[in-house]
Amino acid sequence: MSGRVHGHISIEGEKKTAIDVARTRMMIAMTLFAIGFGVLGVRVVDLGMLQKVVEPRQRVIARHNAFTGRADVVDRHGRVLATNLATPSLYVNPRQVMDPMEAAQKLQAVLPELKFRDLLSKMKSGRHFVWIKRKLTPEQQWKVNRLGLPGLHFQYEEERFYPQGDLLAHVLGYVDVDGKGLAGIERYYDERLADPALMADPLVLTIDLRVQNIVAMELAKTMQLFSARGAAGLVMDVQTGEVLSLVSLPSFDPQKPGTATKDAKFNRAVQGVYELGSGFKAFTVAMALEHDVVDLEGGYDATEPLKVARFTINDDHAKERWLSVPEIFAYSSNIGTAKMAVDVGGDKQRDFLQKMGLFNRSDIELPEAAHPILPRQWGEVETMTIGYGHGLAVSPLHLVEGISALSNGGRHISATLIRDEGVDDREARGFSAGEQLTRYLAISQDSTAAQVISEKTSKTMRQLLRLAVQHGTGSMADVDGYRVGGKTGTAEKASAGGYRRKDLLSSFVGVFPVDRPRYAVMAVFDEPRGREETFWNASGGWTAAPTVGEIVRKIGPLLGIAPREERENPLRQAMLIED
Amino acid sequence: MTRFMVSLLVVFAIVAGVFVYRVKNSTELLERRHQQLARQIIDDQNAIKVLKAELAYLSRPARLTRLSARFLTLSSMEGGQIVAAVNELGMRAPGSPRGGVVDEFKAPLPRLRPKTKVQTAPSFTDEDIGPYERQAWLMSDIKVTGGMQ
Repeated sequence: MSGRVHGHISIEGEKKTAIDVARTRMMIAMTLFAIGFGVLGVRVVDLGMLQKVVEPRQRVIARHNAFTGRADVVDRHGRVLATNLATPSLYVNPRQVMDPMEAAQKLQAVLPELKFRDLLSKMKSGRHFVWIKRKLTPEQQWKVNRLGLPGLHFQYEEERFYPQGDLLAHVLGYVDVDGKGLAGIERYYDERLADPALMADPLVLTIDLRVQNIVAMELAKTMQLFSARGAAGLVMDVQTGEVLSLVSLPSFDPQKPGTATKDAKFNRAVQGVYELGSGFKAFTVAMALEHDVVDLEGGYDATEPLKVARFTINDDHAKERWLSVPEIFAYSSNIGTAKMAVDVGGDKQRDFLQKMGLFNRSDIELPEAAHPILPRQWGEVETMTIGYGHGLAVSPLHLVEGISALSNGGRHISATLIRDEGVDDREARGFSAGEQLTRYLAISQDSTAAQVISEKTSKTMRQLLRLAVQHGTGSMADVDGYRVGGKTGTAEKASAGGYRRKDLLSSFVGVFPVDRPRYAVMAVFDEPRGREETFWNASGGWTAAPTVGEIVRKIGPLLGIAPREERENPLRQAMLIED
Repeated sequence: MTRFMVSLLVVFAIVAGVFVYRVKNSTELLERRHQQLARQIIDDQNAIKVLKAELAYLSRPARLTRLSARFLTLSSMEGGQIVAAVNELGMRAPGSPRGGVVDEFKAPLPRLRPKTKVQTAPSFTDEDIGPYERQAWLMSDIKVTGGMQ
């Protein structure tokens, strides 16, 4: 003990130096640590307070998003026409099923369309995942949940839903199980609708749901009345080419395209090509007037049937006398029009019809749009028959586009189904009706559409179209206040080796209001049968003309067309149409 | 001096720790709230989409036409009912009364409240009815039986 004390005293000086050395070293180490921590601390303050560091966001839990599958399709007023909904599909994990027998029995009671034996074998299979039923209704899902069976699960899948049912089947088309467009707009705009960047923006169509419904209902009514096989209807804005309604009957449910017949899926308005008959006389007359072959005072002798080669051309509404041009048009004389067409000549006729867009597919945004069927040769006989609408098969849409061009001042505007905001600003607030119309006309005049006939000929055509309704074959299309102008057409359907007298294709294409044309309306009936009330007639004037009249009567007020009383005085009337 | 410095550092460390913990905690809470809101937005968007589809389905023009024929005494508007401009109105026929009776309703106007309760649309009071049954009911069309023709 004492030695230690002694030692302590004796070596104090050395010890002190050793501790000093240790202390110095420690101070160095501590300083280094202090600097290190100081740097860290400064950095922490810098990061936390001085710098704006964007922290990586936590991943939002992946959840079924409404805007993933396919964009909506809406009509011009934003009503939903096609949308994607998540629908439950039922599957079973057989390993979790306690009593396969009971489970199969209960499930079969809830979903009676399934077979018990299949269910049982699915429940007993040793796998982890077996589909039971795809696409359940909410009611079925609720019933399955109520069973409280273990092992049953739902998987949500996107399904295309068409709230309007069969009303727009031929416009919208349909999709397959994987949501890929197979027909109509769904197919034409498949990429656009499936584009993730545009998922939240609905595709706006020019279709007006109300107009579509009215056209479909009126067509169905007449179709039933005359026991027709099918019908087609179109309403198009003659100034912008916007299609407000496109109907083809019979229709189908786009939800279940598999159950639809081929006939129902066929789009008679754009896919079907027909020899449309007398509607073509408008083209022949316009062509003759445009080329100064005849004027309104001129005319042709229609006393005798016309014999060309082995054909005889007759008049359906024979007057058996000389007819002036307006009379030829209003009474729909085949003889007169045939002679007129020959006077114009085949080459000019061909050029004219080509300009009218009758040789090409329409530009409408439907993959079904058909190519017209042209005659194999274009001789004198063809010139004559095509003059009154036989020998050249086009779709009803072609005729509507052509008649629009004849009446709108001579500009050929292609039909469109896609609404281009800004072209038609009639709904814009803050404009009076007059200002809106001026604006609308200014915008529509601005289009780059090809001028196919002169303004003057177009005006004459408007008068002639009105005449055919006032005094001619289309009288049943007349509507108080809306001044419909138009042309009937009745064609015998072609079949192998000739025409079938009994099977008609009756149509009417009209424009209203004829003094300042806004809309072209067309109705076509496939094989209508005459009724006692119509004296067993099933021609265009008896079937399609009254249908178009009824459509105009109903859509005129809806579309904001001001009705105007027509003066009886012929002079004032001429002034009205002259505008 | 050293002891003071050390205790100061310890106190500082504790304060900083508590502060950091609180910031972190509140951030986590906000983050959780954010997720919750994001999820809810998506759910609401889904619901809006379903409801829009349902609205479109229930307001199908064909259905509305049928229902209006059944329940309303209105018919389609016709061109003759529209006057485009005031000066298009005809002159008053000579001899017609000026400032006379405008409406000639023969039926007495109701002055008292009707005694019977006005029937409203069926509501869901039955407890047994589940949300899916309700949806199924909404999706199913109202069957019109024995309408007035």
